[in-house]
Amino acid sequence: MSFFGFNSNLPKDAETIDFQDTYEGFGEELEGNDQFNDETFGGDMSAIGKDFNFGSQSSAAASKVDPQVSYAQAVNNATKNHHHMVQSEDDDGLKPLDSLWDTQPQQPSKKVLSLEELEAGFSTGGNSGGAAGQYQQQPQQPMMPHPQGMYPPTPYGYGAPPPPGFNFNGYGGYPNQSGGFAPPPMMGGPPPPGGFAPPMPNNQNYMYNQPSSMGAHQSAAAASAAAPPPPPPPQQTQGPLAVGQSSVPPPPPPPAHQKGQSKELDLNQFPLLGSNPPTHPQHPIPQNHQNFNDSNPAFFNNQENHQRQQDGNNHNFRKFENKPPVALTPEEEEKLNIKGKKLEKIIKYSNIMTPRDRDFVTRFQISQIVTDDPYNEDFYFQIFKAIRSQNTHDGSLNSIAKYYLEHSGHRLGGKHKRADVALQRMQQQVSKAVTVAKERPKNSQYSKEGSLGKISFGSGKTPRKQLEILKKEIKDSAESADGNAMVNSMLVNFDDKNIANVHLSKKIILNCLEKTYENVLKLESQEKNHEQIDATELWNSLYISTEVVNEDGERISGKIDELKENIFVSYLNYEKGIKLFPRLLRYFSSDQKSKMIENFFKKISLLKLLDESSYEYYYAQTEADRSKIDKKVELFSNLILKFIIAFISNDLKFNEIVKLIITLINYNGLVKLLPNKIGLTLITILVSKIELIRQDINIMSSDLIIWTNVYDKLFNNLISKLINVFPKQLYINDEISWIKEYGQDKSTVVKKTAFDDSYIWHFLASLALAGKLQHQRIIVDEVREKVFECVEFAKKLGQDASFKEESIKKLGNLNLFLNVMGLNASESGDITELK
Amino acid sequence: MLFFSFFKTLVDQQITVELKNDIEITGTLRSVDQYLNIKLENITNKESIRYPHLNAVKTLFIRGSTIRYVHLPKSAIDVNLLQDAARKEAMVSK
Repeated sequence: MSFFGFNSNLPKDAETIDFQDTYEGFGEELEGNDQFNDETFGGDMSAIGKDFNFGSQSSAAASKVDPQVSYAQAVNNATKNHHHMVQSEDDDGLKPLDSLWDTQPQQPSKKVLSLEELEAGFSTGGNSGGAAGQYQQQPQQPMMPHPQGMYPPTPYGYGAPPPPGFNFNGYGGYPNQSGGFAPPPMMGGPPPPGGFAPPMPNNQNYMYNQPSSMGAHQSAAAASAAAPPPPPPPQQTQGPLAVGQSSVPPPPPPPAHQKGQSKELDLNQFPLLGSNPPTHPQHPIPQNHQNFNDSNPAFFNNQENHQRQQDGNNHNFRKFENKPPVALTPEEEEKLNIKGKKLEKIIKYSNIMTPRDRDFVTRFQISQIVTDDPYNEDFYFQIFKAIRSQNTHDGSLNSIAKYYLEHSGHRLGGKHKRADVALQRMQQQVSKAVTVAKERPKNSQYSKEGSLGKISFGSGKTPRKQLEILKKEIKDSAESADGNAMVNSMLVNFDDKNIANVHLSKKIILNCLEKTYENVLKLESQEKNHEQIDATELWNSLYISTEVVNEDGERISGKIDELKENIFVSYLNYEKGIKLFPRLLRYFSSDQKSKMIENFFKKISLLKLLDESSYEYYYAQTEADRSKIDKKVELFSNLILKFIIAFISNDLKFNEIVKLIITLINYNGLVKLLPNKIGLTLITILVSKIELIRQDINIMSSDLIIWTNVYDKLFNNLISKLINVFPKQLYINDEISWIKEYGQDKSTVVKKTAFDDSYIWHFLASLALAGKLQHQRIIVDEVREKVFECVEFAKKLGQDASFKEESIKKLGNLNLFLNVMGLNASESGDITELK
Repeated sequence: MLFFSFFKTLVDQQITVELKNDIEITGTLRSVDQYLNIKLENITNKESIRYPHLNAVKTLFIRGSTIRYVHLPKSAIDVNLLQDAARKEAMVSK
């Protein structure tokens, strides 16, 4: 045979290699029984079977619901079985007895035993039966040889000191017949006979078993244990505990002070995360139980809890026992049967989780969502709730507990919805959860030595990222903290020479604005925590005074610094900037505020709203755009104008106001202020405040002279522009003279009012008042036309009865101005001298 | 935590959840968790002809990862506060 011309036939005499010879036969060895397999995998797998039903019963047993068996009867049966089991303890103690599950004699009996009969039965048949009875009568019992790893019966059922982190409250419910610990049912092992329904945690059960709440505790205890009324077997198994209890004197009721004590203990004994051992480790047997008990108060308390719990069971038992016997028709029987089966289905998996497990899950869930810093991490919710409902803010942990309880569907209150108890419990859980959350590692990634990948932790707060984006290292992180560096870096390529080409872009301004917001938020949270507040950083982020004074006291500010002074007023071009303004003020001193106002007047020409609301622009817009502008103006008036007016009238002195007017004139702000309401209002307040002060107090004559000069300058700037303070077509064009309000369909006019011209006449009046006769003459000359138009308009208004009032108001506004000059306009339309 | 914190305030509000499979369900928000799983009550769905199986359902639990959009009632949202909350979140993650 040739393969690519290669002769594969070897010469026969050549040495041949038989691969069989090279194989040392390890495989054959392996193919046989590996003696270590059993060790690794736990031996014969076929023995395990395929019944993976983790419910508290095997399905076979579940089907055998017999409503005819009374509760008391069931208890009796169980007791007998226990007795039987104790005797067979030498066998495998963990193996479920067939008799209990399958061959339990079904003796439908309509007769219900009386209490006396029962007790008589217990004293004979149930003498050594039941876990409780067993450990309480231990001295009378012969010591059984116990299988290795099991505990001998001890006076308290648990013979070992608690391992660290181990919680008796949780596992206390699993004493089985050998006195040791049964694995929790969720392990999938056979249910420990006589004890497969784990009693509820003491702290839960015990709430209902206090002497004070006797009335409610019977059914409540049953409900909280998820143990349903008669038919289901789980109750049977609680019987023995009760049986044992009744054969010995009942424990004295716990003294009142025990309540608080053991409750506190319960709180502290919540299991820690991750400390839930699947089975109990083996421990040496303590020699002297009594000593151990005395030296371990916690342990002692647990024992008491346990007794109380039995007490509760006892009550359950009596309740059902007292039920009167009922003769059932087949129909009813059928119904009961169905009901029983239903219940069976429901409780099949109940208590598969121990109370500890439930606690663990609940706490784990809560620990994902709670935070010890709700103000910062749950900011929206906390503040939102605080704003919307002022009174419900009663401690954040409490509210989380409440919230979680309300919305998680946890019904820890049991059947009776003891919300207070449930809430209390949830609060404990929450406070624990917070502790756990604090302890949890903060790092989101963890790479173990030698491992190939990283383990990343995701949580509700910081979900695991699918994509890790490497952040650019900020080189000058220290510098960037004050925000200055950001602006500097944006302007860095420009020096004073080509400054003309630089403008503060939207991006720069918004960046600065966000920086300011951050500072405000920081201060606000500091304020909330009652920390020391330092608003310097916030102040700097406004770039209001960037003056840098050199050693000689000279001002050395370049053009870039001047540019920066634009930033503050530029903020006010954005809605969020306007909204931020009132929040800033509280952190600033009066001095800083006046600097702020000064900067505002200096850079007022940058305010876009002045342009947008100027008559010329405004009336060229569509209806929709106009209403947008209206809204902006309203917002600005409410949040900023109001403050400025109040500050000017209350805090500034004569000279300071004059200085503001000078600033306005020098920085060419005046022209923009005239044709809109905001601007006119500002000038009005400045001028009229000066007049007020002048009339009230004696101003130094030198100051008055300055003011006269400033007024002249101001007036000169206004000359020939005064007509601009009116919308051009006011009083002539109905479109402008009337303000219409539209209904919801946006086409029908709901309300019609005359244009509010009061601010215009106020302005003219204050200007006339501050001026001399010559000034007033000029003013009248310039606005004469509008005065007559206004009178006409008012006359027209007065003819309509529904606008009579408005007509008078209009004339009143006009007269405010005319009166200054000794004139008066009457309703008839005549302008006469004021008498 | 921002979204969780945010959605918590919408409990008991009427919302519309749009799923990634285009089903739109309107209902009252009962609860939400940190995965933004959502529990809805008294649900209705727009296209009851296309998804008749939803007609019999009154209460739903929706896994957060299957949600595309949640339509929110405007009145129940404080936009300014939300902005502040977003800033806070950004500050923390910085």
